[in-house]
Amino acid sequence: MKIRNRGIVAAFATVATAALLCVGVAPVQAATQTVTIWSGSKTAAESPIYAALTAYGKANGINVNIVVKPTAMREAFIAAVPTGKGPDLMIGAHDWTGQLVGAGVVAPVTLGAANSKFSAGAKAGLSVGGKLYGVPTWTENIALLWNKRDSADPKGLSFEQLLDSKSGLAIGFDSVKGDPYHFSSMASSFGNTLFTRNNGDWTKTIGYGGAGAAGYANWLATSGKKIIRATDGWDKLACALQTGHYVISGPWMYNHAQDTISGCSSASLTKAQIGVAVIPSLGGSPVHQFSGVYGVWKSVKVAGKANALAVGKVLNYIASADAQLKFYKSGNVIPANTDAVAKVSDAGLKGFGVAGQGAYAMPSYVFMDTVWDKIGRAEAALVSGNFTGSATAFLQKAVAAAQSLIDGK
Amino acid sequence: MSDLKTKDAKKALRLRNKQISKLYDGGVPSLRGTIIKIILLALVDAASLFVASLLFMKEQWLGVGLLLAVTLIINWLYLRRGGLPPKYLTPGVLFLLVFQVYIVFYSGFIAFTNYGSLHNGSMASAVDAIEQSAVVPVEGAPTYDIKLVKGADGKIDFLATDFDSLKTYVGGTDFKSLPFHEVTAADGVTVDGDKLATGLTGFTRLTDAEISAAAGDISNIKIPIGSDIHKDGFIRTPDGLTGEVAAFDAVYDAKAETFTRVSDGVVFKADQSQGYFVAPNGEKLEIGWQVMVGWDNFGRIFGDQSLRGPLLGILAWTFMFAIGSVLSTFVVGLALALLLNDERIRGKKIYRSIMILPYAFPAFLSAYVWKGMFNTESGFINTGILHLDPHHLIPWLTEVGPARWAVLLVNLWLGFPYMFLISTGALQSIPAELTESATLDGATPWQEFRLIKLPLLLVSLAPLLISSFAYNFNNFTIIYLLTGGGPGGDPTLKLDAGGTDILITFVYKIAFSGSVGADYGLASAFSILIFLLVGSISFFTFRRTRALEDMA
Repeated sequence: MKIRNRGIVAAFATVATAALLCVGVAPVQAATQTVTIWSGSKTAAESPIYAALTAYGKANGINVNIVVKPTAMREAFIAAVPTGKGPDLMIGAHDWTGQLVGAGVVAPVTLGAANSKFSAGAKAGLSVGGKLYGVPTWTENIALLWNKRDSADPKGLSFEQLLDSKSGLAIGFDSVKGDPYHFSSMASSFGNTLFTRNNGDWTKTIGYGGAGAAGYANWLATSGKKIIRATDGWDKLACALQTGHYVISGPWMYNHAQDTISGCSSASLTKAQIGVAVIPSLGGSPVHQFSGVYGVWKSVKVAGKANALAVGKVLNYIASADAQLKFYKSGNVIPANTDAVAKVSDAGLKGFGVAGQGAYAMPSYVFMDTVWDKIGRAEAALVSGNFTGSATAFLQKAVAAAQSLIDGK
Repeated sequence: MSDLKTKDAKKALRLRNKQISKLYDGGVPSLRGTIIKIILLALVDAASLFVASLLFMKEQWLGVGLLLAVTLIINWLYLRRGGLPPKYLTPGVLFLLVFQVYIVFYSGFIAFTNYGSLHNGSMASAVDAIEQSAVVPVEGAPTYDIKLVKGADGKIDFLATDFDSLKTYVGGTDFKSLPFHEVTAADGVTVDGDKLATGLTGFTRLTDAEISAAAGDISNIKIPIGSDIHKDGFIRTPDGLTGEVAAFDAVYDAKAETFTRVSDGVVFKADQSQGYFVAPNGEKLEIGWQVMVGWDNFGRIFGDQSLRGPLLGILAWTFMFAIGSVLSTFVVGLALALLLNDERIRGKKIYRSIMILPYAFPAFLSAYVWKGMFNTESGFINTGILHLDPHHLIPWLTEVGPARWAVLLVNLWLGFPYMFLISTGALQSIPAELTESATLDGATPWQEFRLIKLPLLLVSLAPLLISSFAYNFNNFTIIYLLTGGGPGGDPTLKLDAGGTDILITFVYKIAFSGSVGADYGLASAFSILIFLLVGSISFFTFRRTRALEDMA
């Protein structure tokens, strides 16, 4: 009997203690509002938005919380938003927009008074069906970088002459997966665009075909080996630039070549020692490399949330010239707001702007990964000679395979 | 005599039963034990009550019910006297349910849906997303400075000043009671230095605290400009400070489950078999939702010619990889275990510690190190160990043959310490008399190993070899990190596999980088098939190992 009593006492004690513990952990309403942004940078402080947004948050009583997601950020965002656990905002490259919109996880944004300060190209990159889903933050495109310390000015040299010069031309691409983003500078000069274009818009038909594809495929198969291949991250390409090769790359390489690369025989370059030039046409047609734009997307769950107005304020600020100039200063990026661009004094960054005048805003379809994969691997196979049959037929078969995947569903 | 014996025996039996039942009941609990028990149970209860309250707030009734039921069962189990076996087994069973059974069933469920990037959430969340996307800012419309005010009815209204014309307007959410109309100084508008309105007679400004408290609602307020909100558009404020004119380009009818596009009147009807809003001409709205699709995913696996082609080759290599990994690691691990089990070797402990080192490193780190070492031009294996002529380097990771050997080699390096450990343990449990008597009978060391040690070892190790096979069959990490499934693959095929793609990495490729982004439904269907395959292989081999036991 005694034992049974003790059991009942124990039951009561358990419930009482549990109740006490529960009171202790009851959630407390936060006083300041928090706006959470996911960023793919290695550390929060490394993101160009960090300094500007934390300062803005402090001045305006908003707790801007930059959360770092170095890998699989897009997948995590798509999975997290419907459960209500996603962030309010996410920053990334515009070509994710199609997937994010298709997954129903982002809501349209408006630029308000700053609307006229953004180029149509920057807005188009972050738009789906004519609706803008992200606030553009900075832009990038590839150009020809050269080492003023050790190499001759590439001005007036043709693409073939660059390849045959003493310095040689290096591109970062994987021996198997290729790199169609960087190769687009060559492909477009034969008249190939990733998708065909209709009144300045992308269609869903892959644009590698006809004489352009034949000329390009044959060139890759016969002369592609002349391109110096630098792989394994950006370090090797930065080292290639530091040792005097001409390099086709973007603003990130302009910044990276100013760092000391471990294991590289040459010293780092200063800003003044890096030239940024126009990529010469290889096939005779104008070069249309891709322009990319970074932007900030808004989660579909923000509407109606207690911090909705704070999110609106942060987005307004991100669009402002003031914020974008700060992005430029902390990250050495080319701002998207044209008022801020006008204040960019860095000669190299300006050079990217000149080199990218023919650039097309990269499309942001859901199936981008598939197309990149097929064309990239076909290009790599053509360069390395790992293909059967004629080069032209091989490229066209890969294009047909990608097209059937696009059309398949 | 016999009577006495039974009496004694009965007495002994009674005593034993008593002891057993005492053991079974756990005896009388000590006070200290009871207190610890109460604290632990209270922690569990507190945690589950807390989670239950969160679920309650989110109206997840099933979750609340399940959680409370499980909590009650746990309390009853541990507070009652006796019932010792369930006290030991319950935590394990609960974790098994949560981490194994639930996942298998959830995957099984997902396999019958179209869950993926384009069918990401429920229909309600798709409707919400489409409705938000259906609001578009009107190009060229004025932008306003917004002051949030409250009229006599206590509802939030907008006091808006056009930034360009500096005219001031007031309007409420209900166009009938407070239409959006211009107000002037005569109506009692006060303005600041920039000629932006600051107040209006009959209206009070919301304080910062009020705005902050109602921020969620304010962001959703739509102030109609004309009598028909769908035709004339409305003003909204994304930040509580400025206002913009927007309009709907599609309108949702919740009853009919349709979206009507404003520009051309096309009606998109919810199609529950596809998880899309579809127009009569087949056009779909961009955002879909998750629906059940029956056996479609399995049908795609077996029906798609472009999928069936590469699948056979992959399956063959997967078996080669899994069996090769188990055999190579087992042979090397066992050989080393035999060697280091020899009494004549000194410093066994040091050798054994060194042997276990590869096992102690995180596998993903080792994989990256090996990847660097296998680099054709600069890797240590080509340049350091083999000292190859730069013109005749082995393309370790870029050609199929060498890449497969490289993968097996790395997996051997990662896996042999485990086999070494378990073999050492099993060897030490073989009684010395057995081997001694064999030696006395004149058996050679090889006979001794083959006829005595190996059969005995296999009895205890066979289940571990089977689990090692199952593990390697799905060894995603090593393939993904070392070769990414490559090299090669034929980009001219619709679906193609790389030279070292095993089933699980191939599934990953087609499920997560297909034409529609991630396709969790298809991936789950594949997982279920792999589960059945590995499960049945394990089942039959386990049955075979019983024969081994009988032999021993």
